[in-house]
Amino acid sequence: MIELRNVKKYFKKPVRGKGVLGMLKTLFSRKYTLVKAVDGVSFDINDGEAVGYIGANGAGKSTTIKIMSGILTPTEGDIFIDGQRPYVNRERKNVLKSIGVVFGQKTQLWLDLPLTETYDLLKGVYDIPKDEYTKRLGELIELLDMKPFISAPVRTLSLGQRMRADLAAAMLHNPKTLFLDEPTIGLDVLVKRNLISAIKSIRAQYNTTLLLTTHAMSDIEQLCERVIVLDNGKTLFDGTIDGIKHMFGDKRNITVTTNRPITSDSVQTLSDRCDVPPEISQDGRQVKFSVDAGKQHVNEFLKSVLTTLPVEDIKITETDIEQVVRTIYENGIAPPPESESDGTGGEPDGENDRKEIETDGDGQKDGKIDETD
Amino acid sequence: MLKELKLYPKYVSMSLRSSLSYKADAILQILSFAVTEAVSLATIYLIVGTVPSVGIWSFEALAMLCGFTLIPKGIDHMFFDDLWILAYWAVRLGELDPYLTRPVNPLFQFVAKTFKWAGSGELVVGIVIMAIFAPQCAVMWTASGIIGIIVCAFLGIFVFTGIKLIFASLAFWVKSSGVILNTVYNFCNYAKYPLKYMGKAFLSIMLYVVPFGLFLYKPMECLITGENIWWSALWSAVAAVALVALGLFIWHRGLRRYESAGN
Ligand SMILES: Nc1ncnc2c1ncn2[C@@H]1O[C@H](COP(=O)(O)OP(=O)(O)OP(=O)(O)O)[C@@H](O)[C@H]1O
Ligand SMILES: [Mg+2]
Repeated sequence: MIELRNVKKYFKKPVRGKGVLGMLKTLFSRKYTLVKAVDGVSFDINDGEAVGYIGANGAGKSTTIKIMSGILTPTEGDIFIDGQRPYVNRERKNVLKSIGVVFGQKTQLWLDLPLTETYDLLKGVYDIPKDEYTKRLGELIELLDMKPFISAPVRTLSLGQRMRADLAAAMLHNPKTLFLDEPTIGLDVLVKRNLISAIKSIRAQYNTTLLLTTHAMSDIEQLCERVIVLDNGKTLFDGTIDGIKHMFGDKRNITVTTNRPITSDSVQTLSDRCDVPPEISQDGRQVKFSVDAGKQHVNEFLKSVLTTLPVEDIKITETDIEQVVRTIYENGIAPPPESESDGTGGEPDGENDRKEIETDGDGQKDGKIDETD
Repeated sequence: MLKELKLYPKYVSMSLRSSLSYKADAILQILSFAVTEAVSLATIYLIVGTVPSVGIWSFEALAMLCGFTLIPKGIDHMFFDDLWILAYWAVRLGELDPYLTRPVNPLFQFVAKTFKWAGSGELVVGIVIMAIFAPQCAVMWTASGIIGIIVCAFLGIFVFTGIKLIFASLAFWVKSSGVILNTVYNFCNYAKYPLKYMGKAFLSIMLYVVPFGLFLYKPMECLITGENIWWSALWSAVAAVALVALGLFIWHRGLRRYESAGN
């Protein structure tokens, strides 16, 4: 059981001056912007659940996982993993024994030595009994198809191989919970599919609780029953995949090809029944409708299409999560930020909200700081 | 603790085997540290050799002192070298992450992962110099004196380590504390000189502020003057315990501020 209670993590970033003089000033000033990476997140994950944790770049996903896996201490709030907090000195070892974590961006393996060496070290680190270790490593090698590279130095592995090796390293001590932060980043379609199915089998075999972040929605759809959407450090949505689709409209994209050009007048009655106006192609022979299946029967809409338009072909696609999430990111269904109006202007000295500081910036949504420099 | 002890040989063997892939590099490093120290001895010779002696310090005695300082320095270098990495970039680049997710003391993992052969360059040069010059000094070699300097050398390892840990851990506040650490660490080089004649103020700094004088210089002076070496040993022990404890305290405090790194 994982419990997050109003978890916050703020980072202080020094305000950088421009030029040499500005740099000198930076050295001596105590001005900083406060980046609210995680800003009051609460959720529970039950044993055996598989949860997708998604959000745009910089939403705070990795930061949350880092707190859960003992790397960061939260600024406020608490995380309990089976009642213990990973960032508290006396409790950390117990927590760490029961979790495994993979960061797709960074390997945790010993680069210059064969994989088996790292695994052998982990055997000591986690006090894994010898026969259990042998059995489990065998299973993982089989499952993740690691035979071909098990004794090659990690340095020489391909990204896909390395990711599998990292996953095995995280699973070796039979953790109850697995945190995967972008495990499919940079992998080609085939390798990715294999990795996902391997994770699936792992879960089937060991009933591991899973928290997964990714930018590929197909990963989530294949692995998770539940999604949590994070934006600007706050949760936007927490529920089932079907739930998210319904909440943001269970849209059908209907593309109609006609045998002669049509005008927007001729689709007037149809477009009245859609939330967004239909798109008609340049040559007027193709028109796209977006229909909310929750508001009307799709079959009746199609009947009307067939009677009013000279139809040659019809294609219907369901909204995928990617589309749903994109809508959320773009429109930001977040409740209007409450702290927007307090503390107007002034020098960014000390406890200042990043929203106020970036007002002269590049006009991003929700006053988000552009972290590229 | 027991687990860490059990794991240590494994770490050393992995570290050695992984540095084997860079054999030439390792040998060059050992040589470069040895040469650096030999040159510094030659410098002392050039300075001291022109005059017969500086007060109670003959050239032979100074050479022995020089060799002695290299012993704890070299040993610390072999075992705790990665504290430099902590100071310079590990905090800034978020390189502590993997050690924090494993159920073993993260500081232990961080320093155990590298066993630095290069330190043996200093250690060997130190022992050779001592072996050459110790018999030539006008010192009454007693059993108590010999055991005394061995104890001081042993404690000295931890004074080096403690000082490194304190200033490397400052990186949690300032992101990169390598320059600060380097400045403080380099004071150990002054312990090779006859501090007695270098001014009261400087001597006090070397004894009580950056206590390199306490466990490197003072025991040798005791040997030469015939004072009781065990007082220096006692103070070295106090310094070692205090500095390591302070270092651990700052490390633990700092770890709570550790920010990892964004991508
Ligand atoms: N060590 C750090 N120091 C300062 N700011 C940080 C640090 N780590 C993360 N941040 C900031 O916190 C915010 C959240 O970062 P985080 O890495 O958690 O995002 P994410 O959701 O994982 O994004 P991505 O999808 O790009 O991986 C970002 O604005 C980032 O710049
Ligand atoms: Mg991330």
